[in-house]
Amino acid sequence: MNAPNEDLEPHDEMEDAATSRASASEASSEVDDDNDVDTGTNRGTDIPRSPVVERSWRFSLISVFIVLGWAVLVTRLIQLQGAQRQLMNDRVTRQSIFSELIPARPGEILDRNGQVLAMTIPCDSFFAVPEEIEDPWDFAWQVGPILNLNTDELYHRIADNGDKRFVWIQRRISDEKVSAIRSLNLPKEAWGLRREYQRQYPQGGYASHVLGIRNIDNIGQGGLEQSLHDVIRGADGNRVMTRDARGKVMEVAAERSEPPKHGQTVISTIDLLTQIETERQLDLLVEEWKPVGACAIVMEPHSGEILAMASRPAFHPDSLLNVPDAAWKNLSVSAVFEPGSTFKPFIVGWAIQHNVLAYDDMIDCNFGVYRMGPRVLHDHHSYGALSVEDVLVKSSNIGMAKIGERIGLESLYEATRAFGFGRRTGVELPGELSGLLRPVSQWNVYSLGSIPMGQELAVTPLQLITAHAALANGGRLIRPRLLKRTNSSEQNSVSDQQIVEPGADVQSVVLDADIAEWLVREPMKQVVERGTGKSARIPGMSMFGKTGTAQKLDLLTGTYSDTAWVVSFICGAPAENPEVVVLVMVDEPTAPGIHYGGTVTAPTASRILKFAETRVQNLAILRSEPDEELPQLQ
Amino acid sequence: MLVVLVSMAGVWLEKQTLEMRRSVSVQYYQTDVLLDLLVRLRLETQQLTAPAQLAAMQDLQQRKPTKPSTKPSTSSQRRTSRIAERNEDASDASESSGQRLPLLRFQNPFNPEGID
Repeated sequence: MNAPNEDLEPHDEMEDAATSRASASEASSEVDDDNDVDTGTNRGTDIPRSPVVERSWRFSLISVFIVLGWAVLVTRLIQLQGAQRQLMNDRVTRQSIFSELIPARPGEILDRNGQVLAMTIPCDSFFAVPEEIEDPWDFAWQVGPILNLNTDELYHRIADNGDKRFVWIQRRISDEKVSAIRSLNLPKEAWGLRREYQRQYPQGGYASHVLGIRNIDNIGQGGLEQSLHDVIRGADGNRVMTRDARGKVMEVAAERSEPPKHGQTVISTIDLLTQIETERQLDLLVEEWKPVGACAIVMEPHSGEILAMASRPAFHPDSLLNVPDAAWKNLSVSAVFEPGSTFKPFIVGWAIQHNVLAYDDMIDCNFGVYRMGPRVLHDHHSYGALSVEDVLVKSSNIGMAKIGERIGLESLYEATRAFGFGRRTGVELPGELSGLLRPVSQWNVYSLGSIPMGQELAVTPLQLITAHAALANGGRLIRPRLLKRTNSSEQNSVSDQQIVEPGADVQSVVLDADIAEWLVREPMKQVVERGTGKSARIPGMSMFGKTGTAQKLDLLTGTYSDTAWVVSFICGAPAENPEVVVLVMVDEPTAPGIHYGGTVTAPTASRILKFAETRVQNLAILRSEPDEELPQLQ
Repeated sequence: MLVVLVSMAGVWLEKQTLEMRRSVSVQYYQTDVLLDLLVRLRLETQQLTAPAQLAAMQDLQQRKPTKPSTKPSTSSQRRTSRIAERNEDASDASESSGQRLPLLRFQNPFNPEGID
C-alpha cells in the first residue's frame, strides 16, 4: 500500500514544476477554503496532501534556520564587539601597531670658538639570528671575509648559539661593509642591522684627556664625556607605526610617537689653537727630556677658564687598542706631587697679609746653613741677608723657613687651605684628586720649615695653577672651569639645543689685591728677569713666573730621592694685568741634563705662554661667543 | 546607483587618505636620512678645516724645493736624484702631518669616496 504522500516527492514536483505552479494557483483557493474542514475528516484516508502545505512547512524550517543563523552571527558580533572588545582591540593593536626605538644622538663638544672637538655620526651594527640560519658554515663563509672576521670563529659563534635569536657579529661597521653584506642576499630573517652612533673627533686626538671617550655602549668614560654624560647623552625616543598584513609600514603615528631628546651641545673653554700648540710643545719636551709623565695647563686667571690642558703619555680616541695604563691618566688632575718652590709665593703673601712680614723686611739666610731644631736646612747658594723679594727670586729655603717660623703652624695650615690645597678644585673632570694635606695636628717642627718651601704636602697641577691664578687676578680664588659660561642659553645658543651652563664658581678672597699684585709684579717678575726662571724670559714681554724643583720620595728607602725629581714652572703675562697663566709640570725627567724647573720646564712654558698671550690679545677670544650656526639635530 | 557612486567615492577618498599618510610617513625617514647626511657633511667639513690639517697643508705649500748643489752629470744620476727628492718630500710630508692629524678625506673610513 502506497503512502498517501508518495506522489508528492520533491523531485516529482521539480520535474513538474510548471504544472505544479499552475495547479497550485488554481487549487489554492479551494484548499484554503476547505483545509480547516477537511483536516480532521480526511485523516487516515488516501486523499493526498496539498503541495502548498508541504512548501509552507519547509519555508518555515528554512526561515527558522536563517533566523537562527542570524542570531548566531549577531550573538557572535555582540560577543566580539562587546564582551571581547578589549581583547580584540589588543590583538589588533599587537598585530598592526609596533614601535621602534630611536636612540638619542649624543651632543657635540665644541671649543670656545665653535670648532667641533667631538661629534657623533650614525652607523650600522650587524647582528645575526642564529635560530634562523640553516647553514651556519655557509653564513660564516660569506660574511667573515667581508667583516674581516675569522671564519672558523664566526661559525662557532653562530653554531654555539643556534637556539638564540640575537647575536652581535660586528658593531659599527662601515657603509662599504653594509653594502657588501646586502649584496650577499642572505635570508632576511637570518640577519639584521641596528642603527647606532659612533663618536668622531674631527680635530684628531687633541684634548683627549679633557674630552674622554664614549664606549661602544655610548657611555662616557673620562673627561667631559663622563662628567657630563647625562646632558650629552640625551634621552631615547620611540616611533609608533602601523603596518599592513604584509608587514609594510602604512603610517607613522606621530601623535603616539615620542621624539628623542638629543644630547645637549657642550661648549668647552678650550681654545683649539692654544691646545694644539700646548700639546706640540709638550711633545717636544717629552721627546727631549724623556720623562715618566708631563702635563701642561693654560688658564685665564680672571675667569678660571682653562684654555688648554694636556697630559703625557696620552691616547688617541680613534685607536684605543693597546693603550698603556698610564696614558689614561690625566696628570693635570690626578698627579699628586710636592710643589716645591712654586708654593713659596703663597706663604710670603699670607705672611704680609697677616702682618708678620713687611715688603721691605730683610731676612737673614745664614749663608746657606740654618739649624731649625734638630734639622739643618741648606740653600743651593750661600746667601746673607736677603730682601723678601730676593727670597723668592733666589728661592731661598732658609729665608722661607724663617718666614714660616713667623707665621706659625696653625696659620700655615690656614694658608694652605685658603689657597685651595687639600681639596678638589671642582673642575668638571672625573677622577680629580684632592692632593695630600695632613691635618695640622700631625704637623711638627719639621713642618714649620718644610711647608713654606713646598714640602710635606702634595698638590695636583690644577690646584697649583688655580692658586697662582688667584695671585694673578688680585687675590680671588676662582674655581677652574672647562665649561664656557653663557649668560643666556637662548641668546647664545649655537643650535636649538640647550647649552649646558657651568656651575657656580667658588670664590673667596685669599689675599688683598695690592699684595697679590706686588707678588706678581715684583718678586715673580724678577724670577724671570734675574732669578731661577731666566730661561723663560721672552724679549719684549712683561711676564712673571716661579720655578719648582722637588725631590720624589724613594719608596725603597723612605727618603727623598737624589735622582728622581718633579720639576715645574708656572708663568703668566703680562705681569701688569695677567691674562694668561701657564703651568708645565714634568714628572721624573730621565734624559741627561740638569733637572731643574728652570731648565726643563721653563722654556716650554714660556713658548706656550707666548703663543697663548698672542692668541688672546689678537683675537680677543676670551670675550667672543661662538657664532657658527649649527644644524638643528632635533 | 547613487549609493554605489557614493561608496566608490568613499573608497577613493580612503585610498587618497592612506596614500597621503604613507607620504607623510616616508617624510619621517627622509628627514632621518637627510640629518645623517648633514652630520656626515659637517664632520667632513670639520675634518677638512681642522687647524692642524690646514697647518700641515700650509707647511707643505710653503716648503721651498731644495736645489741640488751639483748638477747630476748622467741621466741615471738625474733619475736617482729625482727619486731621492720625491722620497724626501714624502717623508717630510708624513712627518709634518704627524700621527695626530685628523683623517683626510680619502682616509675617511665611512665614506672614502666622499659624500655622494
